[in-house]
Amino acid sequence: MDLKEIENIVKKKIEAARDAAGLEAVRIEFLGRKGTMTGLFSELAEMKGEERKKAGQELNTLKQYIMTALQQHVKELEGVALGKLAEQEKLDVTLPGTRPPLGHLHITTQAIEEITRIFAQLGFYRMRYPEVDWDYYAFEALNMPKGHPARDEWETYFVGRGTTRNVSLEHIAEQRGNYIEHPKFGKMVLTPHTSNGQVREMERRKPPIRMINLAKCYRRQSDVSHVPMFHQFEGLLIDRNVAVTHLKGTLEYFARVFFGPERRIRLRPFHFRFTEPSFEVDVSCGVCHGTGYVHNPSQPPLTLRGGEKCRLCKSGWLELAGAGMVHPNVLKAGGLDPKVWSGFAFGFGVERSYMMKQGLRIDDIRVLYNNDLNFLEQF
Amino acid sequence: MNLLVSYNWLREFLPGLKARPEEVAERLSLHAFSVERMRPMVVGLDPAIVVGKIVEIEPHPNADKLRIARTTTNNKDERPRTIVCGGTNIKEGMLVAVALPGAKVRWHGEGEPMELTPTEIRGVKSEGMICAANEIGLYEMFPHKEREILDLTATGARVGVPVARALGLDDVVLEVEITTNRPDAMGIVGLAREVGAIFNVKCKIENVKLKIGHNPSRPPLNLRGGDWLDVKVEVPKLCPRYMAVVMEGVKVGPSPWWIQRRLMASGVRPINNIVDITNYVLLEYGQPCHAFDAERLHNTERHGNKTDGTRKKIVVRMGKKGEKVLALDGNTYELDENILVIADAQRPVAIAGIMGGEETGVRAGTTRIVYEIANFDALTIRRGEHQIGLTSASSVRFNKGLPVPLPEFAAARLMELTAEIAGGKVVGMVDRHNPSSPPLTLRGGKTVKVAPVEVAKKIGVEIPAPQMKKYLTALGFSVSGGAKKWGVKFPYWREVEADGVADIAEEVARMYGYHRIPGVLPQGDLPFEIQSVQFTHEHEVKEALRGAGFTELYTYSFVARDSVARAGFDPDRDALALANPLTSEMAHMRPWLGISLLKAVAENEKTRDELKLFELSSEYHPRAGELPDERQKLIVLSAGREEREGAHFYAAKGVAEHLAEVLALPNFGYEKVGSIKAPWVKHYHPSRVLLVKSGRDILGVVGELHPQLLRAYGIEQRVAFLEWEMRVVYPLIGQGRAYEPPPAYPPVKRDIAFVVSKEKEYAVIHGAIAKLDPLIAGVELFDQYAGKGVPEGHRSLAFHIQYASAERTLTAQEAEKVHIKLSRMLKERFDAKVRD
Repeated sequence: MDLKEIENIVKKKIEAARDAAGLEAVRIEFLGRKGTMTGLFSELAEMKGEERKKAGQELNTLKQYIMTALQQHVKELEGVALGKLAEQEKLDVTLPGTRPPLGHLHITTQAIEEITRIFAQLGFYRMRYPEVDWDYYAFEALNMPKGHPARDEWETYFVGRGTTRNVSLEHIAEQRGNYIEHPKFGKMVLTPHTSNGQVREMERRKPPIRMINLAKCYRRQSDVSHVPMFHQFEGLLIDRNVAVTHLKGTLEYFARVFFGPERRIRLRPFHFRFTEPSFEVDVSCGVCHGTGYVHNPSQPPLTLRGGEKCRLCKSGWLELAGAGMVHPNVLKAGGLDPKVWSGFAFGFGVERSYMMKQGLRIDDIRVLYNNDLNFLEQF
Repeated sequence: MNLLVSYNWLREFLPGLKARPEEVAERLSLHAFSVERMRPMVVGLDPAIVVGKIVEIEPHPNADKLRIARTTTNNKDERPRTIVCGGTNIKEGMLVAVALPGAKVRWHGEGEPMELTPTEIRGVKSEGMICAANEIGLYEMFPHKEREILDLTATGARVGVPVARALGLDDVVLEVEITTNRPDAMGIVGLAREVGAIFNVKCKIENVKLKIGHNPSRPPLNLRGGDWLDVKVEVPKLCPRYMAVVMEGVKVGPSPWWIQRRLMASGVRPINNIVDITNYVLLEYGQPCHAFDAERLHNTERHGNKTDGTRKKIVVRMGKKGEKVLALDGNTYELDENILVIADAQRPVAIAGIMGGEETGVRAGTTRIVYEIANFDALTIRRGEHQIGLTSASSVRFNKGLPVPLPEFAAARLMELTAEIAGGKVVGMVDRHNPSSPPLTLRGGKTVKVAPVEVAKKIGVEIPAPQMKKYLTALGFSVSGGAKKWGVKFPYWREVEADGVADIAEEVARMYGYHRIPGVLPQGDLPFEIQSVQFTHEHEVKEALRGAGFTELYTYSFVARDSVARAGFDPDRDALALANPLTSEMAHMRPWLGISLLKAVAENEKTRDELKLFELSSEYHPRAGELPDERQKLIVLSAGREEREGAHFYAAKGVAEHLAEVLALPNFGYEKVGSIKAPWVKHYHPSRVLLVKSGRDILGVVGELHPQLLRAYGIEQRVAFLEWEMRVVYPLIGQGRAYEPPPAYPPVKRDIAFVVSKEKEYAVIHGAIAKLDPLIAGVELFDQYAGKGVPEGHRSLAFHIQYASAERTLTAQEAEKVHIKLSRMLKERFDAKVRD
């Protein structure tokens, strides 16, 4: 048979092959052990010299050609098969994914983590102090001597001896003689604020102090905006020559990292017994950017006209925290000389800060601690 | 406390004040007190509602209930307007509120405001509307009957003037939060001082001071209380000053409109002129005052020989057990020796500083009155308030501590206003002053020595000394001394807070403006303090649990007394009790975190099929004479419907193993509880509980809760806890991390399955397999089954076994040899039937 003829037959057969099996049949027919080409190669044995050399070359060329053609066609066929892949291996990709189990951290935990991280960058270390503490650390050492009216504001719980009577004030418990009292440190209380850590920290180590305390606090109050148990974070910095400017700088740094770089801080006068001067700290509103107006920033804040006043804030600012310069009497209680040392302290509500950051408007904040999974699973 | 402040009233003391209310509010907030809210005194009183005068009334030709009122609405009115009106109380000559066409009114006080147009009413054209108070938003101030229109005759307003202006309602009310250290600013005068200083406007407070302060025995006007009144202060320490003024010939009636209006702006309901005057003076000066009806005070029983019919007795003393007083709020309060009272010759007539008594109150017909203007001890008032559960506008001021010189200003103002408004004349006056209380001088007392440099240093901004001095003087402080050292004297109204340099720095800084102070990051060395790793570990644990599908809870630390008892604790001995709990649900600090979590399970059990929860929080264990032991506990719980028996137990146990892996706890394992008699053992199911250990340390326990305990908390389904004592866990975290080289030679893997009695425990079988031969390198349970095909009381277990050597590659034959040995061992030791 003419080699050219063989080439043409092979070509046709390859083209006619519809799948891999068909091609394999072609391969076996021509290149297999008993195939056409094998037969022709065996004929070479009978030839000699130049003739054999030439015929060998021609046969090899043809073999090469067949192999290449087969390979190429395999590829083509694969392409065709892959083209049908979508059809053959169809999945309903709109079905829901298989999820790993989903758990949730309480938003208070999330807030505590984030706040700790920010203050760590300013060299503040986190500490923990008793939640149930003596009157001395909760009040007296903080410049609130026994009987001072400022104590009333804290709505404090006292630890007693098993009464369930609904009594609101220490002196009543006192009259009944059923509170627990330390001969030196006074009554046992549930800390109404994280400030009990201030004098404890001054007793624990020497300045410089840069402490942050995030803890549970307790107050006798429960309504849509108050919970009987909540969390505060308290910062205390004591060093030489600490001024109001440093307090402001620290809070500004926190506000910008926590709430966003465009946010500003404003200090307003206030009164706390354990700081002097004392401030309330406002942060500019993230919704109206400190203008008090959402659509019309040209109008001045605090106008009497209604209209597009920002619904989140009062006049562009949101109340955030209480702060102040540590009162000299508090430094003295901590064994520090106010002539040498000065400092600042601030206290924030953890829940409130975090809700403000997230722009969460929770109508009744008691939902935070009443174990409602529908709430908890949103975070 | 929050004070409602009329902008117009404030401005009366600051004639030079040009700032608009908005500006006053903003600057007051920045420099002194936070202005929480501000609002116009009335809302929606249209300027086209003007004062009109009815000149003639005619019947309506076509309607019985309507009349035609011819009403002038401007001074030059050539022709009165014809207005159809249904008001039942209209009279000729009456001043009324007329809504002119174009004005917005609320028909019959209902719905949205509508614009008025001239219309025909039953055939008569009406050129306006005579309004009822509810139609123009004034119902609260002028409550009236149905179909009665607003009668403005008493105001004597000019015809044609907008009603808002005629009534002085073009005012703005600021709600100001006055801090507790500033009782001096709890009145208009005090606030005016503050605003004046902020805006640099002179504050005009008329010098109405009486000249009696220094010589109480010789009152002015040659009057002596002696003829009229006998005042005895039994407790001078608790009542440093008591002034009483007797006035005769007063006529009780309604107050003039301007007084009523100001009281209403301040949130105080007008009652009668005398009571209103006491409230007015309270609001203006911040000094509480009270008026007694002198006739109703009991006389001194005997005076010398003759019965004295006119001399009234007032005693300032402590109450007595059994005494009661009916107060002006209509409630009766029980008194005792802790409550300071004002009494007459026979009985208490007022709770001192808190509220006057109903029986001696001023009423219609009263002609002789006794004004009380006193100073009481702050702490006594504060305790009194709390004990009887009553506070008032007076007590909230007294309990902050008021300056002793203040009563004489208030007394002078009371007399002045009474004479002007209610007539009458002063016939007696008494001033009792405790000589050991602060002096009555008005020149200020305590002086603080400060260096101006020190002040600037505390603020961190270089404010020039003259500027500081200006701020202080504007606030009423007087500054003496040179450039280096000052003596700063507090004004008498700020005596209460006089303390030290910090006070001065505060005044200067706030006047400068805290908002103007720049922020600077703190300088100085960072403290060398190694952060406690506990906080990081806490978070690792929480994150691991979150990742494993558990939801974190924060429950209240307090629990109910009976829920403590239900967990088998003695509430009096084992738990911290609150002396003043908010509710009985929150009476004790929990001695076991489990109590809180069981409550959470009970609350959520019905809404979910499955509960996977955890909390990492403190328990509070009482210790005698010390603060309680606050112990951090982790409880991870699995609850809800169980797919198979023990599912919750195994879920909790799985969490233990997961955490052990994530936290790299060394030599993690379990141990049976055995004969441990600890109280917590009772919480758990007797045969479904294990101690969890890391080496020799007991981390805690994993187990199903005792069905009895669950019943006690109203829980219907099974619950399992993993309960760890975190102070044991924290130091072990990470200790179990050690490097093991990967095996050098490949293992031979074989499986073995067998049926064995359920009595034979997995851990024993597993241990026996693992220890059988050194070539056994891994033992893993992959299937267990009981039921059809397996004899009763038996189960089928199937293990993957790995055979390997550290020295060489095992041959199949070597592995097979050990595998046969394993088979034999299982048959012999465990009576197991090995499957082929």
